[in-house]
Amino acid sequence: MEQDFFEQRTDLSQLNEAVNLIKTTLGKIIVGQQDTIELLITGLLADGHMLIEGVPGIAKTLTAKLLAKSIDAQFSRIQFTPDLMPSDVLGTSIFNPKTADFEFKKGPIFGNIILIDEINRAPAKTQAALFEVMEERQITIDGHSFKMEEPFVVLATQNPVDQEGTYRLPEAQLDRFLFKIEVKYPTLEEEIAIITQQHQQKTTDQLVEVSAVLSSQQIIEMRKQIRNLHVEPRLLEFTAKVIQETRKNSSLYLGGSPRASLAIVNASKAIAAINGRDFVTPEDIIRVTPSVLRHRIMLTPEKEMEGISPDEVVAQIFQKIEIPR
Amino acid sequence: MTSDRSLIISTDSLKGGPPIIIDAVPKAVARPVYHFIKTDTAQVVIRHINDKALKHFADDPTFDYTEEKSHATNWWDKFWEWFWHLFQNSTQNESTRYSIPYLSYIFWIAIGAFILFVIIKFATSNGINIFNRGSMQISDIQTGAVEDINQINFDQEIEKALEQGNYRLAVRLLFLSSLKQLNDAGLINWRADKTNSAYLNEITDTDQRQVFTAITRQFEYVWYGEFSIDGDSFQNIHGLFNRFKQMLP
Repeated sequence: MEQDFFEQRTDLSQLNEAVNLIKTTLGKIIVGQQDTIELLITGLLADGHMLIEGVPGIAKTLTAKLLAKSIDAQFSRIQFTPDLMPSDVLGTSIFNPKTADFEFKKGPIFGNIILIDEINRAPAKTQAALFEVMEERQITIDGHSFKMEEPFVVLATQNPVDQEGTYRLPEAQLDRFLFKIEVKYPTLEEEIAIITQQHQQKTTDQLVEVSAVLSSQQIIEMRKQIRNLHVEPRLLEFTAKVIQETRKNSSLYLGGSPRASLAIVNASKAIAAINGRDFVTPEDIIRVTPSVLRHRIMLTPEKEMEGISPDEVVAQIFQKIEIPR
Repeated sequence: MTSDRSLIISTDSLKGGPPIIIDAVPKAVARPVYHFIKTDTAQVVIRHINDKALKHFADDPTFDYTEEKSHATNWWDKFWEWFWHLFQNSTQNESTRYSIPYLSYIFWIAIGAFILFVIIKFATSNGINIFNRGSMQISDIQTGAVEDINQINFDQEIEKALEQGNYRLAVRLLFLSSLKQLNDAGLINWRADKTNSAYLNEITDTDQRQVFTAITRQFEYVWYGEFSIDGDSFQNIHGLFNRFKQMLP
């Protein structure tokens, strides 16, 4: 019953093919976690940074590494530790005795896909070094600005903040992540499949099996295509209403920023494209909003004590707002 | 007891009571107790209370210690009797004595307000908007005003939209009309905040689901995608909607 009376305005076949290829590639090694993988691809196409949160041992880093490996781009990894300095991330000027001048030595942040492992194990001072680069895609050191090459994506992993040796990330930095993706424990079936797969594996390095399926240029082209997707004005209004509601909700002491509104729209466009549409529906907005808001909104201490999660508050907000139709 | 001491007994023993040894003193000074007691020789003047003053006090309700007999038969009545008694005692003074009936109204109003507050708080925390009939309302596409799908005359509105050549609006109205029919038939539970997928999941019949998926797709392309639609395309879509209508009980 797939009768279509309309001709497609945008050719999304290449994009859909590439997405399926990434999903298949990651699916060879990662068992389950379809939701995580879809959100990672959505974030990549929406030109956003992603924060992956979960308890230790649920393949957060592996998933991020696999996604990076499936793209033919410069990959760099930074392990965040409590003694890490901003210059260890951004780079530093070193005196060259031959030229009798200072030379800038680029730090690991210079790359296309940056994996920051255990991001919340470094203190606020180091986190602040990421503010400029995450938002403006450039860094300024010694009066010189260095532009990052496109695509520039930060994939950060972290353990929940109640775990030993972790810091809470500054709100300003959290707001710079498009998504916070929560990785859950696998189901029983998935866990059995993980063990079986590992048991039958011949090599120890799982990444060997993965090769790049997408180039940086293809990602740039897809992003351009996504930016031009259609969003009905009432859906923009719907998005704005959701964000406005977070600002006056009694369960929250910090609501979503205008950057959050933009993030919802951009991510909705990306997920619409993944689903083969060149227009956004309310379901796309509802699909991405929890991941966009869960790290941006802050619960009041009372609600936190009650054990309510930001996702529950977002669900309550959606119940209050009429879906435009 | 040594032999050179005699007993001093209490005065109760003189009235025929049992002797109580208080202490023992040397025999040389021992004397009966009544030798120590002096007789009161003062003249007694009897004072009489003034009748007028007595009446004044007798009429004053402050000195009325008669306890009203309880009429309460069960614990609930007893509780309220006790509460009002406490309430009156705590508020009854010269300045408030005559405002007691009003205070009881204020009390009940306060109770009512508290119950209302609890209901609103509960509803709010559960995401229920009790002051808004939003559960059965949708936005009007052209005016932005809120409309009730039960109040729309769909046939008339669709006809009007077609006369204006507004096929987009006509498709929207056809879709809303289908939702209303599904809701009337008890196949879905219409709510303004539900998505089309939520309705799809509520439909259990496979054939109905299949056709509903198709009409939803057409609606989304026309409405959210703003795909241009002409008379021929509309006829095709209309045919699909008619087919779905015929499937409904």
